[in-house]
Amino acid sequence: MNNIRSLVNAVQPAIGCLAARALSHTCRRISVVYERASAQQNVCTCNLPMHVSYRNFSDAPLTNFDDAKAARLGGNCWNCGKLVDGLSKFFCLSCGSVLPVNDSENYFTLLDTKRDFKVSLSELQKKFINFQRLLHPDKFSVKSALEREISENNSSLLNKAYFTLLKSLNRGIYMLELEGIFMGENVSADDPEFLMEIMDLNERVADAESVDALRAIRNEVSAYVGTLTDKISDAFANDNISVAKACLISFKYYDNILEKLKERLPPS
Amino acid sequence: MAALRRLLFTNVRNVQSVSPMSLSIRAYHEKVIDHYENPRNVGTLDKKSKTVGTGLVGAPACGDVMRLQIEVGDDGKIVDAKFKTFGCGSAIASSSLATEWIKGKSVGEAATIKNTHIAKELSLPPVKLHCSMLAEDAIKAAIKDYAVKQESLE
Repeated sequence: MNNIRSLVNAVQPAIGCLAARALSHTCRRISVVYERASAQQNVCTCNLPMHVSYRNFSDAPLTNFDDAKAARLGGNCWNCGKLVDGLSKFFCLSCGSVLPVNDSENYFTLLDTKRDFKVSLSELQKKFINFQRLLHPDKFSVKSALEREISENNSSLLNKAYFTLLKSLNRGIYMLELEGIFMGENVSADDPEFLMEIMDLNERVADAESVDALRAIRNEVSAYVGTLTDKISDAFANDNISVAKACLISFKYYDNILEKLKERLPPS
Repeated sequence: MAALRRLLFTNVRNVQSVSPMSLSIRAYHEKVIDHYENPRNVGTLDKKSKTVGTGLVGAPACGDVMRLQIEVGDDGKIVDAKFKTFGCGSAIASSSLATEWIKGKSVGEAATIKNTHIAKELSLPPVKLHCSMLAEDAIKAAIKDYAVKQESLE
């Protein structure tokens, strides 16, 4: 094994990472571990994100997903058995195997984002794409069934996290859930004036005859939503959860109208 | 080369064919579709009239709004009912059915209509039960509004 490792290490700069990986795979799946540039991501010296599994252990690796999850809960890697570094979310730093995500993670921690109502969408997208590059099931097509299952779960969880945090309404509702507050199926007749306003807006959308009329309504509702998101942002910043919840409820009604408008307006 | 090919293909997953018969189809019940395509009692009554009660309710979780209005005759019976709902098909059907049911009933009888009756009539699935709740609350809100107006007259 050492001969193969030194061989691949030696030729890697010449033939590149992908070829080196293919070479090591053909050598009976005995592969090499590249020194990582950063603690969290497995990045090879050429800066292509990649990881390889390293089998050099005394105990046989686990093969069942639930066992792997249990191992993770206990702080161990299912493959090499070593203790998992607290920093690594998706990969074992010792052997590079993909790991099931810990239960303590939430959508913000998964995407390496500060838990806040205001997020930078471009940063979020960058992180999402980078993590999916490492975790997408297509990258695991030649790996064991367990690794494929783990990567599918992780990738799907990442999708959920990204698309929840992307829209401010869903982000706000998720932040409430993290505080233990759920919207629930209750019906309310509270705030009849607000409900009347929503009724009026809906009727105007239904009766609108021209694209201009629809656009006017959209601009009006977008303005209301803008004020609301500012309020929500302040409420979360000041830990004013009840105000945040009330605003998010109003936001939901406006958002439904915006969705209806989106259907009727040509893409702009 | 042969070894490489073997390596590439040993891990290809077996794709199981899914028979269309094995997929369960979730669809709106035909009664719900009927109410959606042939809505009854859609419209408005004069909010300012002393004999009209207006109920306006909303569901925060899904953002649906429902307005149900009743016109009460001198004998205390509901002579007319109109509704307008912005929401899913189940919500529209629930409010449409509600207006059908309360017409001709006394105000007291209309107040006894329960969401479970509506849900049963429309065969609403569990996930849509709150739509029938919305209709029940709309009836009660309309009755309450009428009662408040009548009280202010006396």
